[in-house]
Amino acid sequence: MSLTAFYLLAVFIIAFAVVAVTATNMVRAAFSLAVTFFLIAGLYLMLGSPTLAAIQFMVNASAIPIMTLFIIMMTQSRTTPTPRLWQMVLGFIAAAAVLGFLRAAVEHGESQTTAASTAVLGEGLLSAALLPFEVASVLLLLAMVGAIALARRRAG
Amino acid sequence: MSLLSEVWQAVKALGTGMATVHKRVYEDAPTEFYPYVQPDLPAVSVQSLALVENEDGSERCIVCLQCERACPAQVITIERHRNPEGKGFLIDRFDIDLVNCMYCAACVEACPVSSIVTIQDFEMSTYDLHTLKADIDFLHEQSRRSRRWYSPKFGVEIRTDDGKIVKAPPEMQPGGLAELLKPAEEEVDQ
Amino acid sequence: MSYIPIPEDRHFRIKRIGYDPGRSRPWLERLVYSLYVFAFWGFVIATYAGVPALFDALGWTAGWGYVVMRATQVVLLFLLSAVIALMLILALRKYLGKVQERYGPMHYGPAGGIQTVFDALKLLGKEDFVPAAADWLTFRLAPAVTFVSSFAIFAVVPFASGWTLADTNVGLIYLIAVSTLSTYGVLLGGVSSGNKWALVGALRAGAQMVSYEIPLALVFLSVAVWGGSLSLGRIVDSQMGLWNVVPLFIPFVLYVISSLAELKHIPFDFPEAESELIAGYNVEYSGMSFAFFFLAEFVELFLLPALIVVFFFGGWHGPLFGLEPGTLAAGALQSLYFTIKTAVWVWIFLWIRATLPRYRDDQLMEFAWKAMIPLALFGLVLAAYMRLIWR
Repeated sequence: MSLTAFYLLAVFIIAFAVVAVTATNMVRAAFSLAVTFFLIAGLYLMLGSPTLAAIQFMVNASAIPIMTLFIIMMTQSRTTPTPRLWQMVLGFIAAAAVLGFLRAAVEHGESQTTAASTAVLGEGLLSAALLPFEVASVLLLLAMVGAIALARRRAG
Repeated sequence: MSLLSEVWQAVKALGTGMATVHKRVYEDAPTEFYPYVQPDLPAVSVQSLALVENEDGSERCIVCLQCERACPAQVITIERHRNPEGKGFLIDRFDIDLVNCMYCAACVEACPVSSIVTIQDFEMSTYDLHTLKADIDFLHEQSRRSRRWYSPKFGVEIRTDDGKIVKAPPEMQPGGLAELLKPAEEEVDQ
Repeated sequence: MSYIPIPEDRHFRIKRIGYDPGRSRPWLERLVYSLYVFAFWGFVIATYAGVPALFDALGWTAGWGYVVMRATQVVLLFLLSAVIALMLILALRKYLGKVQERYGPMHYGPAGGIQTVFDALKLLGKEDFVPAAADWLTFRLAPAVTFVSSFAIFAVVPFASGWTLADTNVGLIYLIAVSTLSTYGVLLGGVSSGNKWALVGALRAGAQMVSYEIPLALVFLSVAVWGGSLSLGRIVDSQMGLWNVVPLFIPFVLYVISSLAELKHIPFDFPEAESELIAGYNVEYSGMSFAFFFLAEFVELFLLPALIVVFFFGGWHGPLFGLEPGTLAAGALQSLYFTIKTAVWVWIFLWIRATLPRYRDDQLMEFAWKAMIPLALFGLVLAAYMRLIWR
């Protein structure tokens, strides 16, 4: 049963990802991207981590697409030009590199993972991984301050 | 402190408003159930026109053409001929174009015998405007359907259940008219 | 005044329905609308106790049988949400009528009790129209996304102890995610309509809902900190002695305000603003697509008060009269308490809607960022402090 569910999810993830990359209509591309992220949350759920699935759902499948939609609405860019050949080749090379990197990472870490409950994950974030966690939040804060500064300069 | 007092003002205003709204729930609605219950219109309200006959079915109208002359919209068309058997005239045609009529009731005021009157039938809506080109039959029919009508000369008249036409009692007459008519009647009696 | 009946040959004769509205019948109205609450209760019992009992009797409790059972419950909940929408639209119209000294719907059914069924049939019969300027795919998808994001909240709402579709330990994160998602359908609908008013309505809706998302999430966090869990079932369990509304009063007030904003209800109805934007983001929709927007709005009008009850008013808690918790009778009684508390909160939301005027747009955003978020942060810190001291 879980194998069937996995293949169903995989087929839909790939289909929507392809639409997200190839669609020239920006709104459609953003929407398919959101659906892809949402289905990936389903994969996390199958791997036994509902926390990660919920956070994926909250951040990647809800908040980020809304920001994307806002940008599309603000900039009034409804369609994208079709990519040139060299852009496509470069994209494929980049995608292959990322895929190889991820594959290596998964093979490296396969033996060390356990399905973490919410409490274990939370405790891990606030004890063992506290420094990267805080660094990431400071980075986000910096990004926000930078965005505000840019917007103010544009306005003034 | 002023912030807290502002918040308190806001909460108080909100509470007062919501209490006021809640009290309304228990009040009766003043809605009129028009298609089911006929509204009780005042007797002098001009909703439509009718041509009244006498109790015995003879024409009350003397075809003096006063209404045709008085009509500012010129919607009344009357044709007549001399009565061969006596004095006066007989009606050939008495039409009122109720589409273009503006219901000013100038004809009712001009009528010397209170034959043309105002009635309270307002349900005249129609898909076909030609049905509102009223001829004499339609106007008679309207008066026969009415139980009550008004003209300035005779005041409110009532058709009783046995077909008699009587003058309405003073309390049914429009305001002021009852008081005006009373001393006049007393003088006649003396 | 009376007339002899209008003659037959006049075709403008009014059809008179055999109905005597001469007197208002408040007792009948109260009876019918309370019966609706109990009908809803019966539906809940059938969904959460009847379906599992049926599948137990059939022996389908593992593997695909379990999936089919959950799917049946979801289908029943979908029907329930349609029924909720019909009932709440009716209740709203009737209540607004009463408040404005009208009678509201009163012609179909006892005291107008099945008026909205006819409304729904009318919407079914209307043409579902896609404007030429619209992007038809997203235009079609937007109502579905809106409805699903409202409907998905049902998954974690506990109607009685153990009566929930998924009592996950990430219920609150799921709630934040789903309520963020409802912004999405509104934005998609507005952008894809190809209409200025729809676009402005969608922009307003997006700005408003994203802003009020933040205090909402902070309130969820305070509830989680005080209750000690992200699971809605355990949050309700932890309110056994004392309802959360007492220790978490500030988050409670903030939750009511921001859920009004989430609902896009008066006083926060800018996205719809009939007087300036016609109907905002759903202006180009007709027929069933429009009905789905409506359905989503009224399902949320049920679910957000239900979440108030879960978070602050002890959920299903109430006197059990010696019934063993976990049995069918106890579950039924608990879900009745839950239903009645929710009904009271729905009424309060309608009451607010009947009372308040619309806010001004800039005041709305100012209120969200300058008052709600600092207060929500304060409430969160206070909740954490109180938990350290008292628990």
